[in-house]
Amino acid sequence: MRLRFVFGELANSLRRNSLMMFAVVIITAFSMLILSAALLVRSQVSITKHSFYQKLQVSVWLCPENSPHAQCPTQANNVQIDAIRQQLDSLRPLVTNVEFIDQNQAWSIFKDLFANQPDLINNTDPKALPESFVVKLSDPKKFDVVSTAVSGMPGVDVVQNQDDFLKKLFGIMNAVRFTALAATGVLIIAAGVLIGVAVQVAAASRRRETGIMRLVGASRLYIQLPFLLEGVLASLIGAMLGFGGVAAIKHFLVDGRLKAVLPVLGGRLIGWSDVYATLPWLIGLSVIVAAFASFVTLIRYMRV
Amino acid sequence: MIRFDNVTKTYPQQSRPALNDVSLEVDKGEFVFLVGASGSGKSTFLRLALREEKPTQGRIYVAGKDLAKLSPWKVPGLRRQVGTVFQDFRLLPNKTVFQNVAFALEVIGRPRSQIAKVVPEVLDLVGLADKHNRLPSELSGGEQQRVAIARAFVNRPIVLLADEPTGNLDPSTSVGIMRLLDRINRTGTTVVMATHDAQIVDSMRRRVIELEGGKVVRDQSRGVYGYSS
Repeated sequence: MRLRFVFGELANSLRRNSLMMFAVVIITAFSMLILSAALLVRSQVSITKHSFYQKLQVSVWLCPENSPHAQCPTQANNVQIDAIRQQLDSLRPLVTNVEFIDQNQAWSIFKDLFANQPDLINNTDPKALPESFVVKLSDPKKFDVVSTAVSGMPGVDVVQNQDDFLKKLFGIMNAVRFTALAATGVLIIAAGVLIGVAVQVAAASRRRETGIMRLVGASRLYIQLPFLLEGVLASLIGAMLGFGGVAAIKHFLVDGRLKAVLPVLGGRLIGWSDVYATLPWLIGLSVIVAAFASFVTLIRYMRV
Repeated sequence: MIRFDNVTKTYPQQSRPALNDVSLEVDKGEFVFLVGASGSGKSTFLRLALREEKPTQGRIYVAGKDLAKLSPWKVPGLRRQVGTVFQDFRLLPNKTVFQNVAFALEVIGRPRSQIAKVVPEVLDLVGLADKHNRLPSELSGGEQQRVAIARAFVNRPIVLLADEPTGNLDPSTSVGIMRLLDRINRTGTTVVMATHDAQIVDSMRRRVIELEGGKVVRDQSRGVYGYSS
């Protein structure tokens, strides 16, 4: 195999077919960019999930004075509070920690929370703040067990879990991810078809050469390899550009803008290692798609 | 060297066969004219021998190979032993004379050193040693056909198939091409030439196979173009 010949033919063909190859590069870049984004959203979901579930806790709010809720005719009394505490303790080892927040503590938390709104603090009666239990779970997904055990007990107002918020957040992130994956699928099909057409055009424009090659006994590999490489090379360049786009997004958008919503995403964002981890996928998929599309085209449209 | 055993070729969607039960044998070193009207089956004969087509029926042997048993990846090996020349030359317009001939060796993976040695030799043989840097557009028709012959012969094939090689040339230029093919034949290469050119066939007095409607109607050693009494 004379590589110099193969690469010479390749360079020749790329030059002649440059517009078509440009289109292939662009569409591959886009499909790989979106694929990478989908992979990164998935990484972010797992990072966020992990960090939230570590911190996740259940709050059992007790009835305050003068509650409008039907389940709270009176403020929770000590007997009720003890009964609730026993009920929560009976759920160990699922329940790992039970902390009682009395009105004094609630008041100091409230003051901390609204330190920059003195009017609100001045107008709030400490007696109006509900007492609560803060419960930590060994498995935060089993929130339901705690909820059913204590909801409806006398003195319990509401059982609240951050899980509801997380479900919404992950729902949105997953929707983004699946949309991106679906878009990737469509784009990859389009890229494959385009590569096929580009290879077909390249093959047609060099029919004279390939005809002579066939007649003088060049092997199939020799005749078709330049075309195959042409498709793969264009696609690979596209994948690299797509990766460049992802790196830019990571640098400018994720590190620049998403910092503002950091707490919502669990305090940690995808890092460069997550970005690099998508590269093998981009390269692998673009090469496979291009090689497959070129190969099928050559088999169908080029006599050897 | 070339043997057809009861070969019939019917192209798809055609009722009449292009070749109809043809049996013939061409020996090593022979020079054979294939004559007959357009559509008589001359080109089909050449295409079958090159395994561009497969016969509908019958067996074909070329250079000791049974073409029916030849697997697709061995077809290039066959074509390296069979040179081909066409009426329309089929040169690459953007390559020089030297590059056009060298191309045939490059694409079968021959080393550069061998190309540098063999191409000038064959250009010398066809009488174009002084024009190796010209582009095909700068050459006359006869010269272009010489380049095509050089390309077909550079790999020293044992068979040379020529499909109306003088069809685009004037009579005096054709004579030069025939002399060249004759010289190649004298090196031991079997030559099969399809032609319409009666003058050439008559002057060469070689074996003539005439096809008509896909059948061999005459096979004559030292023959002429038309029917001889």
